[in-house]
Amino acid sequence: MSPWFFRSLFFHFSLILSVYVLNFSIGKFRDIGKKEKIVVAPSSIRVDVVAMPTLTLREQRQMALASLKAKSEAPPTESQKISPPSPKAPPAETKSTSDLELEKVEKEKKLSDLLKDFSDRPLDSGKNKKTEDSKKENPSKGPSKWASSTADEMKNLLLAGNKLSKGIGLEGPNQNHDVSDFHMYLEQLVVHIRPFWKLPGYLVEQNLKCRIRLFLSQHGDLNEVLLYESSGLNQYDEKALEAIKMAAPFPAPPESIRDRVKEGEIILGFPI
Amino acid sequence: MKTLFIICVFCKVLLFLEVAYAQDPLKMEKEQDSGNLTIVAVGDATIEKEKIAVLPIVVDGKVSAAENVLVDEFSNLIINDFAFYRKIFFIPNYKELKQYFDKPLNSVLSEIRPDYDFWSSKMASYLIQSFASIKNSQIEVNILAYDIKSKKEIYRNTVLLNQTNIRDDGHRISNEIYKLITGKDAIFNSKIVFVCDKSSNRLEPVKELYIMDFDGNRVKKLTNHNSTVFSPAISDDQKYVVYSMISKVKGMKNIDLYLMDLEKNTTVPISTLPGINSGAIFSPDGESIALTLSISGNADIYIMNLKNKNLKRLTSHTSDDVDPSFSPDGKTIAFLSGRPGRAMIYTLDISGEEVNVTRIGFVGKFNATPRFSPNGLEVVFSSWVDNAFDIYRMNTQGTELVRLTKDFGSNEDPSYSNDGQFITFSSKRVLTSTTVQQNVYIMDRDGEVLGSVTKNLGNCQTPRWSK
Repeated sequence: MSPWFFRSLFFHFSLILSVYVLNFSIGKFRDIGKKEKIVVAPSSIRVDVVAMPTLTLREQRQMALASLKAKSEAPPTESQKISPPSPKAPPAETKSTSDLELEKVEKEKKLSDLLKDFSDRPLDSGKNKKTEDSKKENPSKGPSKWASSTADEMKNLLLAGNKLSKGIGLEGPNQNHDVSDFHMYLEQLVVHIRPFWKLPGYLVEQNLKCRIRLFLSQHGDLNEVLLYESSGLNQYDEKALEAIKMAAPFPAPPESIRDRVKEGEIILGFPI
Repeated sequence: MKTLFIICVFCKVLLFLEVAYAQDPLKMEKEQDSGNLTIVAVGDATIEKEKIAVLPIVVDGKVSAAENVLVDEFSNLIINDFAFYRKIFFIPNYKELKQYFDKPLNSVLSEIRPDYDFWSSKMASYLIQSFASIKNSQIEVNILAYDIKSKKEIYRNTVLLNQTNIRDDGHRISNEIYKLITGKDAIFNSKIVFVCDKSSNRLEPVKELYIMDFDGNRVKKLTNHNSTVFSPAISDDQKYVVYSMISKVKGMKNIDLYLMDLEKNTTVPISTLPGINSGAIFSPDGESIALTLSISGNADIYIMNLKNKNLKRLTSHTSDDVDPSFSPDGKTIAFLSGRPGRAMIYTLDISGEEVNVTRIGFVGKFNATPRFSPNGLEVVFSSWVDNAFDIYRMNTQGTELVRLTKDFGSNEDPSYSNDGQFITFSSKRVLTSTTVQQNVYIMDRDGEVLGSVTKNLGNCQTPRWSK
C-alpha cells in the first residue's frame, strides 16, 4: 500500500475525532457563555409595609400559617386541578351564593386586605423609582454569596418596596386569569415541600440561603437534584436537600410544562 | 498524487469547519428556551426543636441539707439556662423525664455510659448527666454531655460547688455545652445594667444604677449618688459602665457623664461640658464612646477617645441628633435626627463629620433609641403609636419593618442580647389611676415575651445588655 494511503487514513481519522471533540467543547463553552435568563415566580416578590404595621410579627405569622393550613386542607377547586380532566370527570361545581358570601367574609380577614387599608391610592411608578434609586445608594451591608448579576437582580426585586405583585388568586372574586399552568404548579410544589422544610433553631437565626435545581419526571418523580447555590454551610444545604427528598414524589406536572420541569427549569429557594 | 492529496485535504478542512460551526436552528431555539430558569421561594423553615435531656445530679454518698440545696440549685441553673432557648431546645422537666422511662429512673441515673438507643428512641438529641461526690468536705460535680445521634461524649468537666461560684460555674458550663452544639456563645455569661428608683420617694425622685445577670439574678446596686442616673451603657468586656447623671453645681443643673470601673469599683466624671453629656455608648473595641453633647448649641453626636478625652464631631446639622448606636464593626453609627421634621432614624460613617448620612426610617410619629443588632443587619427601636411606645425592628436598609410589641403597656429602650436572639426592654404598665409600674422584660427577637427580670425594685428602665 502506498504511504499516501496511510497518511490519508491518519489524516481523516484525526479530522473526524477532532470534529467530535471540538463540537463537544464549543457546546460546553456556549453553555458557560450563555446568560441564563432567571425569572422569579410572582409569589416570591416581597412586599414592604410603608406605614407602621398594626399587626405584630407573631400575629402575621399566625395568620400566614392559618392561611397555608386552610389552603392545604381545602379540597381542590376547579381552578387548582392541574392534571387534565378525564372524559368521565364530573361536571364543574357551581358555587352557591351563600358559599361566595362566606368566602368574602373569610377574605376580609386576610392580611392582604388589611394591607390595602393603608392606601386607597394606586401606586405611583415614579415614587417607586425614587425609592429604588435612593436604596441603590446604600449597598447592602450583609454578606452575599450569590453571583453578582443574580444578586443584583434579586436585590432590585426585593428592595423595590411599594410594589404589590398580582399574586396568584386561586379563590375569591379577584382571580388572576393570567396565571399559567407553570406558576400554578410552582405554588403546588412549594405547598408540598414546606411541611418537610425544617431547621434547628440555631441555623434559622443565621439567615442562610441556598438554591436547589429540580429535575422531575412526567409523573412527578424526582430524577435529580442539583445544588445551584450553596449557603456556605453543609448542614444547611443538607437540610434543604433532605426536605426535597422527603417530599418526593411530587404532583404530576401538566402536559404543557412537562418538558420544562424535566429539563430542570425550576429552582427552589431556601428560603428565597 | 501529492496535489490530489492536498486538494482532498483542503476540501475536508472546509467540510470540517462547516460541521463544527453548523447550528441546527431548531436545537438552538430549544437551547435558548431551556436557558430560562424560574426561582420559587419555599419560604422560612419550621424550627425543629432539639431535645436536651438534663438528668438530675446523682450524688454518691450522704449529703447534708445545705449541700443538697447547692446540688439542686446547680441542676436547676443548667435547666433554666437552656430553657431560655425554648425555640431551639425542648428541655423535659424531671416529671416528664420520669414518664419517658420504661426502666426505673434510678437505673438510668446510675448508668455510667448512656444507653444511646434508649435515648434515641425517646427522640433526645443530647443528654447532660452529672455525678456529685463529697471530697475534702466539698461537693465535686462531674458534668458530661453526649450527642445521642452520633453516639459520643462531647463534653466533660469537673467543678467544686460553693455558694460563691455556683452561678458563675453553672453559667460557664451551660455556655460551653451550648457552644459545642450550636457553634456560638449563648447569653449565659451576659449582664444587664439598668436604672431603678427603688430608693426614691415622692419628694425626692432618685434613680440609681444597677447590674444583674441576664436572668435577673444577683441584682447589685452600683451607684449611691442620691440623684437621677440615666442612660447607662456597659462595655463589651463587662469591665466598664458609662452613665449620665443630673448634677447641681452652684444651683445650676447640668447633665454630666461618668465612667465606672467595675473591677476597681471607682467612678470618674469624663465629660462635664455645659449642657447635655448623655446617651453614651462604647465602641466595639472599648477605646472610645459615642455620645450626645449640646455644647454647639443643639444636640450633636461626637466620639470621645477614653484615654485622651479628644472629641471628634460626627454631626453638625441644625436639628438635634441624639441616641447613637455603634454597628458591630465600629464603622457606622445609627442615631436619631430631627432633620426631616420628626425624629427619624439615620446612619452615618464615623470617618468624619456628616459623612454618608443615610436616612433609614421613614415612618412613625416619634422614634427613639435605635440599636444595632450584634450582626449589624438589623436595628431595633421604639416608636410612639396609639398613645404608647412599642418596639419595632427593621433591617439596616430600612426595609422589612416589623412590629414586636402590642397591647403590652408602653415599651421602650430596646437592647439586643450578645447573640442577637433576645431583646431586653422596659415596659410601663398602668396599675391604677395613680400607680404605674415599670419593669425590665426580655423577649425573643420575634416579639415573644419571656417575662419580667426585675421585681420589687421600683420603676426600672433603660436596660442595656452586655455584648
